[in-house]
Amino acid sequence: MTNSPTRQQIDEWKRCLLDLPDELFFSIMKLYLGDLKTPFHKPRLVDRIIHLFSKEDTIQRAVALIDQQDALILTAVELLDRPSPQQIYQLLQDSYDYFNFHNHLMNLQERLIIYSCSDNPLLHINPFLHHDIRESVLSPAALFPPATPYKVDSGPPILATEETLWCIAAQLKNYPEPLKADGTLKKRVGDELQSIFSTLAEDNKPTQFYLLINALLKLGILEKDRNSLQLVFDRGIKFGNKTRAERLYYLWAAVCISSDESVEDFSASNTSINQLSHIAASIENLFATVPQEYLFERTSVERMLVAAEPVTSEKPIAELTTPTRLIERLQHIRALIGSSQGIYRNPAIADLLNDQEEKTPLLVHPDFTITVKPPLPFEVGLFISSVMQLKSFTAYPQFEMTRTSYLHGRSRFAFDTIQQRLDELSATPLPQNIRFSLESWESHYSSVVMIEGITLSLAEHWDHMVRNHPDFAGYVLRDFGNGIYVMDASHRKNWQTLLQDIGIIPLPPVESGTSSQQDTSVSAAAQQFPSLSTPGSEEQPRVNSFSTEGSPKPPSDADQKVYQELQSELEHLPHANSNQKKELAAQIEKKLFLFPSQLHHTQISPSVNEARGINYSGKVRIIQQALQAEWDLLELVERTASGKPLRHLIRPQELQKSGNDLLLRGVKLPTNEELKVWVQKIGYIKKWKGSLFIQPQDYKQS
Amino acid sequence: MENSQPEVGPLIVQGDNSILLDVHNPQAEEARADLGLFAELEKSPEHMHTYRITPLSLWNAASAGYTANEISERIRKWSRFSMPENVDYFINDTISRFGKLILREGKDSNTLELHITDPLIQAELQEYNRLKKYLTPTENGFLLDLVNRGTIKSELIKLSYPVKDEAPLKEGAPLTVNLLTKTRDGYDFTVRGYQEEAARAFYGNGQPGTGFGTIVLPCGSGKTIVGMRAIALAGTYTLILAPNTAAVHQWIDEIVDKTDLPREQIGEYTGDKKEFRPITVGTYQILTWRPDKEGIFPHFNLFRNYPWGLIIYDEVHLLPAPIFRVTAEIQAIRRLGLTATLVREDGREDEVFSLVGPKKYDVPWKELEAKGWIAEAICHEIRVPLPQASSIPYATADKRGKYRIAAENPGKDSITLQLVQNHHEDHILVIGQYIQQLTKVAKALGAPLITGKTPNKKREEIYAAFRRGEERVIVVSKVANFAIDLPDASVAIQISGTFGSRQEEAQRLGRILRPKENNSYFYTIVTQHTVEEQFAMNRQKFLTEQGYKYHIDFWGN
Repeated sequence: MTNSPTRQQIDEWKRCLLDLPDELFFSIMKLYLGDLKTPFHKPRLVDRIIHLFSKEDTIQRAVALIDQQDALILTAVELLDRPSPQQIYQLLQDSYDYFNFHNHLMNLQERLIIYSCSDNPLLHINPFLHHDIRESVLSPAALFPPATPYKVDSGPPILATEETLWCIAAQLKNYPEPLKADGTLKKRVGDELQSIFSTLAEDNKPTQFYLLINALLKLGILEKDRNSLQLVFDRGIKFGNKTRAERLYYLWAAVCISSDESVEDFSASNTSINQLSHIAASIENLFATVPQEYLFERTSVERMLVAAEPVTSEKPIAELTTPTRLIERLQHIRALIGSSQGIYRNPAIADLLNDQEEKTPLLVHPDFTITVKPPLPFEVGLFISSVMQLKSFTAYPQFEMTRTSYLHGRSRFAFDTIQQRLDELSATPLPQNIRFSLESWESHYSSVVMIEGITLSLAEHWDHMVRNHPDFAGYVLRDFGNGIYVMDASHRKNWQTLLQDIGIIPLPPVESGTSSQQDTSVSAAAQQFPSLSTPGSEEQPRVNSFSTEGSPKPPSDADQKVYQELQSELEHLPHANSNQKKELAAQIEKKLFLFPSQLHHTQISPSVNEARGINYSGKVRIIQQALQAEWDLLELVERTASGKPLRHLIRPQELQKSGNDLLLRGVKLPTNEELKVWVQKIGYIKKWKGSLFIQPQDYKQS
Repeated sequence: MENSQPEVGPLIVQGDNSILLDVHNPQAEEARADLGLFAELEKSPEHMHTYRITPLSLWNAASAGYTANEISERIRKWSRFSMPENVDYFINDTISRFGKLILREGKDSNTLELHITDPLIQAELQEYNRLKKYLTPTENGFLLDLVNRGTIKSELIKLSYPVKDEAPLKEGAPLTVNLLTKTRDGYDFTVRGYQEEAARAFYGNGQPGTGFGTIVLPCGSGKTIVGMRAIALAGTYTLILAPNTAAVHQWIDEIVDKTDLPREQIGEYTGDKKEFRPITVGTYQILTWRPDKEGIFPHFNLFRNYPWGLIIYDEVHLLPAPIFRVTAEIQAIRRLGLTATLVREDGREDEVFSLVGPKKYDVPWKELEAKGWIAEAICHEIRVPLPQASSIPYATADKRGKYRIAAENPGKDSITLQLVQNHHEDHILVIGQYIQQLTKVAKALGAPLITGKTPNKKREEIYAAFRRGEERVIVVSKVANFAIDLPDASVAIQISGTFGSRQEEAQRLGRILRPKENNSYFYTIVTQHTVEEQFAMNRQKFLTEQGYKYHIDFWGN
């Protein structure tokens, strides 16, 4: 039955036990080893604990006392593969309030079933118990209630698709300043978006557009500059280089953490892209886990999402949003469909993941309208959005070529490119009137030229040298002859250095009209989208697949046997008064004892851990004790002005004198919000152990 | 049902209630037949036709007995992808409104009952100010005067409450009309399949709820025949309204030529004559004439005082605003609208539908062209530069002025002459907007000119000479835009037009669509790099949506 742990696992557990603060270390040692004789040799004591837990009887007793609630947490620890307490709570928060969860976790630590090290707050299962727990306790079915087969032939259209993205980009180019100062859309813009994207519109509010525009900002495909939104084309191309599936998950990740109330002030950075990649990978894992044609309980899906989060150095999703909210967003965009019976995966996702993109997706009609047949490469979508005007956003979006749209596209693409691409992408030969009009528009475009840049005027003697320098031409936007050039402002530093290298030292300052363009070398366009699933990548999903099989741990009478032994011993325990017996009974209930012999050498020193009502000094003492212990937590009930008591679990930080009262400052768990409360306002207070293994600073980091 | 499910259906149902029909799909024609029952054809370019489901088209289907389920099922049957839920909802919701308001015969011949089963709708309508003056509440609805039938229906449609009109239509005085199998000119004559379908779509089963509607057929496809067939089906006194006197005469000639009615049974009601006969053909112009701006329309009595059982509105898209009003009054009479281009630049298409009747039948232009029922037309846009002498006036003019300078570009004159020379065997219409320009061109061509100022008699003479081949080229202003039947005209040269009017462009093309042995040619001359280019593009929209292709060239290339 047993399967011995490796030397390395044992050493790690040993190290963690040795790192315990003395008070805790010795209380645990006494619990399991009885009275300790001085001088204390901590490694030897740990060796005795190791010896104890290596015994088959100890293992069987410890495992027998594991109940279904314990099993749930242990399954989460195993499934999430060394999670932080926070992550386990994320997974199980629908089953526990934080107090209960914390108590359970503490209890499992005190029972030496799980542990962590002071230098690494992630939780492990006791290596001696691990095998037996895995074999007879763990139950994925307890975490993920079985799914029900549920077949639907089709699903509603998904709101956030890459077609939506480039179609929105196409429409936004019509508005030089679509936003008001507060980041909301101007009414006309909102109305027009609702009219063109009628399938996205909801309740006459542009909620969906905020989500999608913010998603574009998060992906770095749009940039916000005060009231305007600009397409970052190169960035879009980089996005387009990802697979269709990756693009979809990136988009959904961006939508999931976007505001739906206004356009956010956001500029994409490497950090944000990595974070996005992390969330996208979680969503990808989730959808890899959620099989089609099954109906799941909401709890299951939320847990799957937590379990699907890869182990990376990125900020966990929990710090950005909650699983509930994320699932709601996925439902909002109809990737998941909620029904009264549960949640299922929208079958329409299969179409979106279809990589069979249309090679010739355009039907160009002689009336200048263009029917677009998705799916098509994202880069083609960007091309369309640059040179065409969106008429209606539907399954086959309708566009129109106009002189204005052409001139817009011309600022990005050469005439030959536009014509060639239209030829390539069109399923039928380009109508002659369209071809002619393109030429006519081009003639109009090229008849007036406006070049944004820096005018460089060189005297003849410099001009000869500069003109013939092999690197110079790359920075010239237009050569007007006679030493007059329009230079690329975005590479000003480079060509100024070149001029200096040639010998024009010092360079005079630019007289006026410096370009508003930013140096794009660090812009969003330069950032890479990390791959979501690279073999051998450090990022690993926590679960590889979801099984609808398995069942919760069956009831066993092994635990009852241990209980009976302990109860029987307690009843006949000599030298113990009724209060001490009561305390010991409570500890049996908490499963802190494995053997009857432990009851004999346990020192019962009832400690006061709570205070209530008018016991002001008692409350202060408990706070001070918790502050002194550093890792203790406080449960308190605050009396509020409305009369409604508020219950908090806090990590105390400071107790300050202020006037006639004391002010307790702490951090609420699990939200980490700051709390300040007058001691007089505390109706009830109780001290809790924070963790056996994790020091406050570690806990915070976890 | 499932066995007939195509692997790749010809329909793409869009979330905005439009439906794309892939015309190259082998099942496209079957799908089109179903679509015609509940959707309107919006565009029919070469590869992909666009239909649209509208409240009116659905209510029309509902009045023909189709349920929401049947409609959705037919869409699903041909759909390439699953039908968007919102479209399904729209169909159900829209159809569910039909039949909640039923118009029935009242207790006396001047009153109608609007029967309403839903008390909430009755309460809502009772509070609606625009309807209060027409409606008298009863226990289950309202009473209204017979003359307000059209107004009420029109207002209720705007409120999204279609009225199921079960009040019987007036039969009118009986008149037996038969179409001949050999015309009086001696040619064989049969009603074409689509003409018969169109007439029957209008007439229905002759029961309440049928007998009013609009037929949309291309220019040159024989809408007059549809009108005559409708008269024969209704068998009643008929008033026909046409846009001008020449069109009135054409109607009379056609009826005389192709029916067994003697000439004396057909009257003309125009500026020249005021005849009342069992079939009377009049102009919109004479009906809307009044002695002063505030006065009554004396000729409206033509509608009211005679026992008409059918009124035909030719070129119904031209219906003038005062006729809307009188049409609202005469809802007890069968009404047939005929048009090729139900596009109004004033956006009042819906009013035409609600007063005359919904679209009952249409057919893509290119489909009739393919079957040889209308001529194949080759469209050219010729770009001509603006002469330097006009460039400064152009630059300093306002937008209207710019358009006029571009439209009257003298460079167009020589091109027109050259085109006329190139088509030396064809019958040619030169069409324009500005009299000065047309006069100059007519003079240069030595061709007769018809404008609004040309007396009707003179116009008829010129048209007749053109038909006989004595005149090969005629120059016409916009008076010839509509309803002028010049069967041999095969070339039209448009030298200027009414800004971006889509229906004008289509109607002008329509002048050369009578089927003939050779192709027809339509030229439009446009000044390069001016606002006229943009207006030209807009003008061409209707035709390009019907699948016509314009070949654009610089003059001289």
